[in-house]
Amino acid sequence: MTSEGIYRILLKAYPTRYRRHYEEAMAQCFRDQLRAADTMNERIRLWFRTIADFALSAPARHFDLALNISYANAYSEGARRAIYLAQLEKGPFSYGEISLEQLLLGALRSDEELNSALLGSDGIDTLVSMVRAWETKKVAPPSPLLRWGRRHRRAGTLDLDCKKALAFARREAHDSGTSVSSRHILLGILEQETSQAARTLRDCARNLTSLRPSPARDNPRP
Amino acid sequence: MKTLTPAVFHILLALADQDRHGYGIMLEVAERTNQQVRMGPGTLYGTLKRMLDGGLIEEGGERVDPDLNDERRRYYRMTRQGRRAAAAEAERLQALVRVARAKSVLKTA
Repeated sequence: MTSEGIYRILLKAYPTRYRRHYEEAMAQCFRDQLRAADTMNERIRLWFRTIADFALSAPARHFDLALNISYANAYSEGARRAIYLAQLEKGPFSYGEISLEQLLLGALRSDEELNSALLGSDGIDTLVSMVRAWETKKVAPPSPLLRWGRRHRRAGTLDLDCKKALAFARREAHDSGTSVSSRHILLGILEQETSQAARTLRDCARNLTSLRPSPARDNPRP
Repeated sequence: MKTLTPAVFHILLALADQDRHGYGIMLEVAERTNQQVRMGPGTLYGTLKRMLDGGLIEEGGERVDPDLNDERRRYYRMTRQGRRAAAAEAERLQALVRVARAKSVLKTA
């Protein structure tokens, strides 16, 4: 059996859904590496690297899939992107959880069409600077112990306002028979009426009525 | 911005100047890091999938790479979001290097 044949057997250990999209590309990549490994020594080193890569990545893909199945059923790709982008908005050195303002920026950045409909061509920049300015005014918790606790226990998770906004978004999506979209998330943020994020969105947005999603426009729930 | 993982940052840097296919990204990362970072196909495509899901990169169609052979390859390109994330990560690292220099951990060039 050829090296590529053995590698293709290893690839069977990845989740089927993942293989459907990446199996050929991964086999092609391995074939390219084999072609570039001229000597027996290089081939042996390649196999060591490949087995280590396989041992780490195959279980990781199964874990990702298990974690994402229920999440993917409830949230559209755009909404998942919004949450991911909200995580990216979070400063690496800042303590605490992901705030509603960061979720707002994530939701707007996840959907360019919605973003320009709501804020116009350069609206997001104004909104980003408003959020940044407001974030710097936030007062850090006074106790060093509390600050340490917040940084280590909660960093990277959604804060209570975000969870409330997402719960509202899920209810809205359920009522309209679709997956949660970025529009639903923005509606959830607006629902937190007294929050800074809702006030900022109300101040900056041109036309909030365009937020109300139609079932035809959003992804039907799988 | 949240810290990017080293694999994500390496891939974004590889895609900063041109679209590349998987093997092309692998070669570029290995070359730029003096063969210190060598991603296998499992790590590479797992990371690419997460980056696609997060909107940091997008697929740019399939075509032949004339430098390799006549097989068709799927190309990836960096999105505006990806460029923003890479710039933020580079600035974060630059700030850390400044601190390291100020504390004489790193000698000034």
